[in-house]
Formats: sequence, C-alpha cells, structure tokens
Amino acid sequence: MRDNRKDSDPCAQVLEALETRWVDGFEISDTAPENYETFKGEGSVTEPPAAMKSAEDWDIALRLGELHEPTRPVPGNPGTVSTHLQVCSECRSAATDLQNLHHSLQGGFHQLEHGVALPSKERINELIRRVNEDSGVRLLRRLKRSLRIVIWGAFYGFTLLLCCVLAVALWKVITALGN
Amino acid sequence: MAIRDASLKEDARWIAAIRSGSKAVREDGFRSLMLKYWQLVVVLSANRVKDQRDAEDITQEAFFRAFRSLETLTEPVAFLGWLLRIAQNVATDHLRARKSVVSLDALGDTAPSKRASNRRTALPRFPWRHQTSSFTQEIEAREDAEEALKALDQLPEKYKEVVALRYLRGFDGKTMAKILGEPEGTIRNRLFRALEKLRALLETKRAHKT
Repeated sequence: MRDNRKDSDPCAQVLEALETRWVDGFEISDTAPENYETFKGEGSVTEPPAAMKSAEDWDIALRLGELHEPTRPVPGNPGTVSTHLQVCSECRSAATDLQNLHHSLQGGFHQLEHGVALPSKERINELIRRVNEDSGVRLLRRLKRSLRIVIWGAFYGFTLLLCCVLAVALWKVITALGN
Repeated sequence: MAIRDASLKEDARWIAAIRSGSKAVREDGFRSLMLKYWQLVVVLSANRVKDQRDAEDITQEAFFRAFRSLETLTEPVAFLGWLLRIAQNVATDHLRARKSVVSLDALGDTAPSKRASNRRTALPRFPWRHQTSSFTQEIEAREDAEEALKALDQLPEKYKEVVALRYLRGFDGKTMAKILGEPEGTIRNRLFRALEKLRALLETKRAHKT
C-alpha cells in the first residue's frame, strides 16, 4: 500500500495515518467541544493557528492527531499529525470528511441496531424447545440406526452360519453316498 | 482489544456449558447467546434481504441450526463467525425461494406477491439523534447517515460485513480475524478497501449534487 512517493509526501503520510486510525478503530466522541479552551485545559496544546477557525477543526486535529502518531514520523516535520493538520487545509478537510463518515456510519448503525427489538421470551423459549426436541429426535434416530445395524448384522451372521451348516451337511451326504 | 477477546472467550465458556451442562445450564447458554447476538444478526440479514421481519425469521432459523449442530463447532471462540456464515446461507436460501415465488407470480397470479409485499415491512428509518440542538442539523445528520449506509449497501458483501462488525460491535482487525477465520492482514486490507470505496462513492454522489 505504500510507495516511495508517500515517504516524502507528508500529506500522503498523514492521510495514511488517519486511514490507519480508522481501520484500527479510532474512538471519536459524539460531542464536539463547545470551544477549544476545554482542550487547552486538558493537555499541553498550543493556541490554534488562525487557519483553524472553528472549535470543530481543532477538535478533529487533536482527536485524530493525538490518538496516534503515525508509526513513522512525518519527514521534515517532527511534530504530530495534528501539527500537520494545523497547517494543511487539504489534510484537515480530508480528516473532516473521514470524521463525518465515521459519525454517519456510527449513527446509522446505532439506529439500525436499536430499531431491532431483542427477541421476546416466547420466541427464545420456542427456539429452545425446538432445539431440545430436535436433539431428542436425533438421539432416537441415532439409536434407531445402531439398532438397525445390529439387527441386520445378526441376520447376516445367522444366514452365513446356516449356509455353512447346510454346506457341511451336503458335503457329509455326498461323501456318505460316495462310500 | 482485551475486552473484545474477553467477549469471544465468554462465548466459548457458554458453549462449553451448553455442551456439558445440565438442561438448565444449556438453556441458559442458548438464551445468553441469543440475546447477545440477535440484533447484530438481524441487522446483517436485513441488509441482505431488505426486510426486517424476514430478517428476524432468518435469524431465528440461523440460531436454531447453529444450536442444533453446536457439537460440530471446533473453535468455540469463532462462534460468531460461524453463526454469521449460517445466517448468510439461510438468507441466500430465502432469497432464492423468494425469487422463485416472484417468477411464479410473474406468470399471472399476482395475489401472492401482493400478500408478500403486505407482509414485508420496511427497514427502520434512521431517526438518529446527533447531539445537535437545531432541527436542520439533526435532519442533515440523519441524511448523512442514510447516505453513508446507502453507499455501504453498494459495496460487496465481504466489505459490508467487516464495516458492520466494526460499527455494531466495535471489533478490531485482530478480533474480526479470529471471528471470520481469516488472517488479520486480509481483514485490515478489506477495511482499507471498504473505506476507499465508501469515500469514492460518497464523493461521486456529492459531485452529482453540486
């Protein structure tokens, strides 16, 4: 997935880092901070540059960037992904898109799942009854099968024995007649 | 990641209890597994058959088949993946049966198809509430969610599955690899591809709008 171009292109690396975060499952809270001051208080982050106008931008940069450094540092930029996001509007836009997609999927799936009711007690009991019944029937079927094998085995054995006895008797009669 | 692993180990414990326990323990195990995965299987099946009531029937049948042949499951931690495969097979059978009913309907008798369409219920809409105050923002968020799911719907089944497992259960690549019985790299690659395709689809749609 990587090529040489990516090694020298910080934007490509940042994008790759963001995608990797998505693949590895990043957690972005649903609530955007009311203002960046909240974040300033929590971590040792610097004042957002003028390019980052809204608190949401700041939120994205911090959350996507701080969560993880890409496995390799961005060449020529010893800072974090968030540092790059602060200065590159294209990457910030890509990060916003990714975050929006994440939120949309999260919301969509959440509602899909919550639109499905858990199975009723009756439904569960009915299913358990079917499984139990089936296991009883299968046991009976298995027993029947073994019983059938035993009976047929006995029948064949008995027939073979009878044939042997008849053959011996026939042999004796023939030899007696010969004498 | 440890939590997800714990979840799979919990499945394995229940399965061990079902296999060796008394009737009450067995039933308890069945009940726990059903409650844990019911919604997930219904959502994934509904995605295939596009009908929630049918999806519930499919899920019930999948659980029945899974519980019936639980003894044949060699890797109890992979129960979920196994269950999903069974549900997929049941859904395929269901679609095939529905197709044959439709083709018979097409011969002239339309009454059964009408009955079938009456029976069919639409998938739930997404009245999801993003934490926004304004009504328009809420509508927008809902539309975005619908659009993202519609785009996801256009992806091949294997991509949909991994994205759904990520968002419905929060499984990471490693856990999904265990569940689906595939290498972790394959799963991660599939997620990358899914993301790539999703973004391309959404971008095209946006371009069409503008």
